[in-house]
Amino acid sequence: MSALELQAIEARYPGRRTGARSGPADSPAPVLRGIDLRLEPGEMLALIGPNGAGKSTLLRVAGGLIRPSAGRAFLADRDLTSLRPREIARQIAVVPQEGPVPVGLLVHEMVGLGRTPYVRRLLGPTARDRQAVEWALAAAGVAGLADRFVDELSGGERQRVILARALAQEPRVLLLDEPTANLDLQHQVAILELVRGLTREQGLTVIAAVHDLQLAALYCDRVALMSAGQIVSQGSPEAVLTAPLLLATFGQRVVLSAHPTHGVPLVALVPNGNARRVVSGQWSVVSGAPEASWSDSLCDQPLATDH
Amino acid sequence: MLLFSRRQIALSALATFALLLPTGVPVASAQPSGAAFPLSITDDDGVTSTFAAAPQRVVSLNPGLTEITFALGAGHRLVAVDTFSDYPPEASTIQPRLATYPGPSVETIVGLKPDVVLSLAERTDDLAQIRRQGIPVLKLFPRDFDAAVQTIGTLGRLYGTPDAAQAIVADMLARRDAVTAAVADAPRPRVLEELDASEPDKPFVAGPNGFYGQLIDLAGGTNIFDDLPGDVGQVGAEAIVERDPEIIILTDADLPFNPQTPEMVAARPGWDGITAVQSGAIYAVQASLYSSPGPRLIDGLEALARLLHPDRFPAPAAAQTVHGRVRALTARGVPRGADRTPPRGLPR
Amino acid sequence: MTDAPAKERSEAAGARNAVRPASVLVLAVLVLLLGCSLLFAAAFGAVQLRADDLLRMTVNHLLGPRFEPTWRPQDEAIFFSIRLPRVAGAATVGAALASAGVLFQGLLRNPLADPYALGVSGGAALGGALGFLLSVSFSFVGFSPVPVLAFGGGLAAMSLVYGLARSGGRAPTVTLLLAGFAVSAIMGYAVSFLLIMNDRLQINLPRVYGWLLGGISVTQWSQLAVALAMVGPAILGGWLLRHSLDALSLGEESAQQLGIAVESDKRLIIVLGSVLTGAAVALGGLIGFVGLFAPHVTRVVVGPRHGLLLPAAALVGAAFLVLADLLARALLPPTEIPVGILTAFVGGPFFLWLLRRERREYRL
Repeated sequence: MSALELQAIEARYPGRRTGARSGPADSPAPVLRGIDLRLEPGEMLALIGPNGAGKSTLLRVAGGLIRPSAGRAFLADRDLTSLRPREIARQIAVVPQEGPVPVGLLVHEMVGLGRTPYVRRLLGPTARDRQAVEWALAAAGVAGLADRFVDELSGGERQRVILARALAQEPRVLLLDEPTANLDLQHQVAILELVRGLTREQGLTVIAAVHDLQLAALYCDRVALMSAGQIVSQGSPEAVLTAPLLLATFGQRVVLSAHPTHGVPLVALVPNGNARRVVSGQWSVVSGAPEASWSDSLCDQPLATDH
Repeated sequence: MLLFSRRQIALSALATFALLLPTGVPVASAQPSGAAFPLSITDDDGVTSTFAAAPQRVVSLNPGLTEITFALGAGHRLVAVDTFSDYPPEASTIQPRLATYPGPSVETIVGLKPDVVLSLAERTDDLAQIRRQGIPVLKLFPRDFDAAVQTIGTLGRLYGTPDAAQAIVADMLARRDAVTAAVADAPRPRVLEELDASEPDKPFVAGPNGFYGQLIDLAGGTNIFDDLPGDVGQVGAEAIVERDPEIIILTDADLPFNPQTPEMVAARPGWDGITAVQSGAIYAVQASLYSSPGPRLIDGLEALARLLHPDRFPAPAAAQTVHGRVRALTARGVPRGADRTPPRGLPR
Repeated sequence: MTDAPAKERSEAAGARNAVRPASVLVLAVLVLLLGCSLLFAAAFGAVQLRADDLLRMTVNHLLGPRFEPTWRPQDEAIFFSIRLPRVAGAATVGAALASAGVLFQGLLRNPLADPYALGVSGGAALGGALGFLLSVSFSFVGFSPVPVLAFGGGLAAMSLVYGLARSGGRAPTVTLLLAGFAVSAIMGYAVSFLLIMNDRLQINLPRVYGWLLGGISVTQWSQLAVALAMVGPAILGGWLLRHSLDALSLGEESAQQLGIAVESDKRLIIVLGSVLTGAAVALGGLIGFVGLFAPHVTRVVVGPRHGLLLPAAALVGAAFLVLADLLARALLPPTEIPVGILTAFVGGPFFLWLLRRERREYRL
């Protein structure tokens, strides 16, 4: 049984007259076309592609926020459209890119909001809810910040708090919309480490829309490359992160080799005229040549770095 | 910006202006002289206008001033009045009728080429604009009985009918003196004069001075709210129950909105212990007799005095005049629990 | 990644509430505050009544004649028929306005939202003005035409605003706010237009404006009963929606992703808010400031979570308006000051002081 499956999804942005449901007044061209995606439990999928490719829209469809105009979405073999928001929220959690933070909210209260799909209307949170919050705080590594105000935290800390809130939902599927934007290097790695650990320990299924191809290669089992509303290629990072595909999709030349310590694809940008150029002993780059198979020439070079 | 009808004079203008002006209000004065014209009049704004001859084309922006004009026999000189001028009945046929809220149409007034414009309390800017066109404006705002009498005299001199004015003034003063003499040694009952009860637990009532307060005083009553800062005030029902009036006068019985009847007043929660309610001394009167700075003020005073001291005044003769009929009607109160219906359809 | 040992976890949880005062404590203090305000306001007014007389009077009233009257009979009339209903009315209106303020500030995520944000002020003003035009006087459960029509006008305006803002089953927040502002403005100016065109209204000009300034007008207990029948359940309904309100503060998308049925809950919040505001307007006209001020003040102390914010703000609003109404009655006896003036004069400076004290940039 798959954790999440999208079949032939087509989605349009709601027009003025019809709102979340699709209809004749919607945008003329679909934002997503022919999306097929299947994730097994415990898998981590990176969603990459240029701005406007439809990554966020796909995440919205996967999260049940937008109803597709065609195709079906399944959560553990149950049709998403047949589930009520509360049921969806108990299984799928979203870590959004950014959002308003109410003033004066404490971290543990923010994480507590993740229990909204479970909490009782009349009697409020149970011991179980409190337990889940404690666990989420610990899992996201923000237990020490629990009494701080959310709006006083740094970007990285806030991102982890939002993650903790998503974890408090005790989801089976986690959707991350550019979790590493606005984070410094250390925090980018930290958050992906965290999430990856959870997929291994808890069997959490993750889709992360990321811009950083290297992080995608390092942390994700599979990569889906999107362009203009379609999935151009999906598979292992080695299969998807190829120079011709990336050039065609991003319009950017790259050189790919193997990561020195982890063996995953190492993505090196080949910029245009104004970039700096340094010639050091081991690495030499021949200028002016068009899209040659750089990987070939470079793989022959011995590694310069220490481990 | 407010429209000043008869009611407006009492309710808002008095309340506001009374707070601003001390008791010594400058009343329009005219120079006494042997020759009637040329005549200089200084109005309540302090503006002096000089008239070479009696004006023949008059615009009146206030029903009280219209009424005085007719009483002085100069009604035919009115070329325009305000929308509320309807007494005497001939006044309601005068065209054009000018709306005065939020302000009069200066163009229309200027277009009529009047010799004088009479205003009670229009905006200074509007009046200045009219004056700039070479049209004299007299702002006459009498605030009590004496000032009203003086205004009648002033207008009499203006219209060149000083004798008519003198006759009216003499009549008013003589009748006033008769009233005050009749009640001079009588015990003064506690009187509440209610002006508006849109919120029955917070009615508008008459304060000291001003038209209402002064008439109560002259008629031989004690206004229970003679400590209000203005001529009109809004007070709580608590204070009314506390001060326990012996007589309640309703000037809001003929209001187009939410008219009050003595039964309604008696039924108000908490009011049943008031002396006036228990003895049925709640009287509805014709409001226009009390709020208009015109000759009918004396009718109002007499009616009021008769209500407060019925024993001091002979029973009214069979009504011959409109005024007499009004007096007869307003002298009847409605005792609590009786079946009598209150006076209806009071003539305006 | 291991779980922290259970003991450490519970200790951490125990120390958690150091920053926030305990809910029970806050509510107890506020109930006490309201109680004191009610007693204080009942004891004072335009007329001086002795407190011990009032106590004896009350005992006599409730338990039968136990005490010899040391007071005048009109004192009883003043206290039971005039003053008490008014004080109870002020508490009800204050609670209703503050609760409506909490609901609308949560719904619209805007610190400037108040109970009148969605068109109610204009609608109620227009309804009230039409009530002033009627020459028939009727009494509906003790309410005269003006409050009844103001109530209807307010609710009608709110429905209009929602209908205008809604498209495709959703009513976006900004659209609601803008439509509310526009409808209120149009209706408010319609009142001014009516005033120009209609003689009857002009005669009553000071009354119309006075009513617009707001003033508690409760003369019969039946009025209070009807109002409480609306206000009580509506506040309870709002409290049951506390989780939705908390989630909505994160934005509508996040709220939906947390399992909230956003559009239907928004509709529900709007309905509850309109009922609360309508009841408040029927008892007290357009009293401003309480609905804006009480939620903010309360939020500073108890935090943004609606489970505590809603009941706490209601208590704060009730106490505040009871005291403001006391001043309206007793500051310049025997003159009555429109209470809207006092809510601004008393609440305004305090609110400004609070804003300056809060060094954090103020967002909702």
